[in-house]
Amino acid sequence: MIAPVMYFPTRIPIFGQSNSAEQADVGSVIKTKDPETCNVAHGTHHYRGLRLSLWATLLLCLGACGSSDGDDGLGFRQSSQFPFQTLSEFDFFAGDIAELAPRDGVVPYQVTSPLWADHAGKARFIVVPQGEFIEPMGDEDWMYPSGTIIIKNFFYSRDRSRPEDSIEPIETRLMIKENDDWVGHTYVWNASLTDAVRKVAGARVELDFLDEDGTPKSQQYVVPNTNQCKDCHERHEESRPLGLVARQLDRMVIRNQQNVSQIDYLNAAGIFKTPLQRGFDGHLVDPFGAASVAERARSYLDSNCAHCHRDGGNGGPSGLVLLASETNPTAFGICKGPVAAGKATGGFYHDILPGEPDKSIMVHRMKSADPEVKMPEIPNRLPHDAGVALISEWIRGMSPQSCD
Amino acid sequence: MVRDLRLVGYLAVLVFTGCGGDDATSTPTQTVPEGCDYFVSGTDDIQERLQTQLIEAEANSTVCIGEGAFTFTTELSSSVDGVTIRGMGAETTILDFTDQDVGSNGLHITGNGVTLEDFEVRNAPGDGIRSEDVSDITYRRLRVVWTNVASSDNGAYGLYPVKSRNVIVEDCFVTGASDAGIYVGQSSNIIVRRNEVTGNVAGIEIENSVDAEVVDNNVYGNTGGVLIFNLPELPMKDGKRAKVHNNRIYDNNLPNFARPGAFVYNVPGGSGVIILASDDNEVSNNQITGNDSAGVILTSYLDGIFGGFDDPEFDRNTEGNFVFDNQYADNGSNPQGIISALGLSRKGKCGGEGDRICYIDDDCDGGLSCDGAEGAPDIIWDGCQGDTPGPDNCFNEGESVTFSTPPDFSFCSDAEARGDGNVETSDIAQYDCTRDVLPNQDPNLWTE
Repeated sequence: MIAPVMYFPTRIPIFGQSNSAEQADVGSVIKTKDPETCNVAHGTHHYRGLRLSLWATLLLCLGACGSSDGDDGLGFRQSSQFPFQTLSEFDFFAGDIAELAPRDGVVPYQVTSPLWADHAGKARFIVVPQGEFIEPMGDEDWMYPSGTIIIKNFFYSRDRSRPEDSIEPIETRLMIKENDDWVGHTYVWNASLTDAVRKVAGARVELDFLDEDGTPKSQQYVVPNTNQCKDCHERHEESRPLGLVARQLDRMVIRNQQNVSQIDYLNAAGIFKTPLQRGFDGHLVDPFGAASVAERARSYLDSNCAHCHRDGGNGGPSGLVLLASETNPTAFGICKGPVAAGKATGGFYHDILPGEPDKSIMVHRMKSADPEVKMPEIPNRLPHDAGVALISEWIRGMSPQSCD
Repeated sequence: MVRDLRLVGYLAVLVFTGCGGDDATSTPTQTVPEGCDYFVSGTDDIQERLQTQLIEAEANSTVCIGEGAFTFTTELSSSVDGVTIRGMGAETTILDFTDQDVGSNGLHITGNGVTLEDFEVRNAPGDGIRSEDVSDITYRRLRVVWTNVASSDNGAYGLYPVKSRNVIVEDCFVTGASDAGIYVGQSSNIIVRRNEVTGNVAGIEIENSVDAEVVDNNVYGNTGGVLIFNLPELPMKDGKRAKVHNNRIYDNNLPNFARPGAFVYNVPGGSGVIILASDDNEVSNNQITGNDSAGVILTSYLDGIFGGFDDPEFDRNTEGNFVFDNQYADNGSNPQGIISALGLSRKGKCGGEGDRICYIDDDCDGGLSCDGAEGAPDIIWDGCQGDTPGPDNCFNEGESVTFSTPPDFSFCSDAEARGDGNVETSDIAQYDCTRDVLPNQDPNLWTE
């Protein structure tokens, strides 16, 4: 139980207006949209399809179409009552909750290298209690005040031929700082998208969608149980945020239709005690952007694997360290033998056999949907084809070694 | 006590009627058995109800699970400190993970001070029960079973405490693991006792761990019985001081069914005890019989078998171990895998009597033949030591034991090529020495 905390609006003087939803994971699609649609979509939010268009364009326009209904932030929300049984009780979002238009004080952020989540995109926010600040120290493991809430909304495109126009939220995960501990909660959205309800034991959601060719398909989406939050977030018996690290945040974002440094934006949001520094040495790159294949592969592995595969993480005992900052090639898999993989080796002998992605356990496990073999273990169900292709390309380009 | 029995009977009736499809009785949560703080039974929504209870349980409480077979499609997990998870009996409370498609473990424990007792975990896709980075965990009267016999599709480890401190595994039964039935990895202060372990690739494996006692276990019908391993490239280094005593380790002749690439794929069928690159262990007072390749094998981390490694802190040699007062019979009669390839022979006596020790290829005086036999001896040691040898291994066994034949102390010739040094001895008497006996583990002396 945490002491009651007041959440007051956090002003953002540089950009003036309230923040809006943003997202990164379907960014390549959304970036192609014409900014003009901002104006078209605004004011049509009572219509489901168009409302979703609005939502998608919010993601694009960031700020220009933000909520402007004079919201008063989280006000006197009693944190001693956390967790609420429904998402709406937190009052994070103004207007139609499914539009995820954040109230003042609910600060959006984006990561450079997102975690694959079975085609779901994400909209992330952080709320810091009034008068309290995050103390950022270096890359990660910052000091957060009790009562800080991290919000991650997972959404899904019902029509992959026009993903930006067919987005619906599926689940919302919260991490709430209760004194010294981060506690995770999951909320599953109802069918009418009017609210999301807390689920302790997780859930499975059947998602119907149209694929790129318009063919009706369905997919089972797994909402983790709240214990499973720790599978990824816990390190050395302590839960930690994963996206809020300097190496993920040091990137450009669009705010108020301007391309700005996210570090500047977050500093201006007034959530840090001392400003975050730009130009973080060791920042990640977009895994599907323009950097070298090695940089992209290491960034992908950092965000998709290193929450477990590092000292103190769930995969720490394997000795495989997939942080982008790891410099020992054996530690990040080159010629490294498996320890406790069991049948998941696939009959191969090394995590990475240079030049041979199809004989590398890493690729074998990324490609698998078998629960014993697949990596990551949870919660996704589907292999990430683009991720497999990236890691395969990286391994294929290495000078062959026998590893004997 | 009488009241206890009545309660159990009452609950059994409730569970039974629940099976008839009556919703009202399928979840008799009101009646909590004595000693339990929470009681979950009935098959309806068991996944959600049990998982929710495991999450919402108070610290130091007891969550009981009713009789019956319960099926799960997602890994179960518990992170509450001090919790006891208790079934009604390992034969009667069965957690069946055959249809699991999310998560690799059957049950995943991350709380400290946890006790798991009296239930079965069946057909987990990966590991049966894994506890990671915890203190004070007890596995008691559990069964972990894969119903497909010796299938490489079975999960890897049955009971799997790793990176943990103060670990007790007692009175459990494990069969079918495609890696190790009971696997204690990168842990310290460990007791593994009175377990029955059969039909696994490795029966009991203590890996990169310190201060383990393996006692009074019945280990039979595995590929390898008891493995004391120290492997490179792992966060916890220098596993040592496992005391393996008073166990029955017999007939571990199951053909290896691990997948290639898994480390235990290297274990030859017919191995009783293997100590690999681990120091200061003790193997004493065990009955080691009928293991077709050898009774006890001490081997360094040989490149030719185990592959290369990149770990400057790793000591590949096997030193300071003490093997004494074990009973041997019928080991080495049909060596498999690498042991067969060594071409060992068992020692005998010229003419079958007298004092003249000989090996099968030896010439005996006076036209006598040597009664040494094809096959491997009870004890095999590769003889490798480093440039700065640690304490000698000591073998202080009775008359009946047979030892590696002299020429085969040259197994580590590849070590010599590496400049690691080599023991080329033909005189096993040199190693008929004693070392201090390791203390038994006493949980009262364990500290956090």
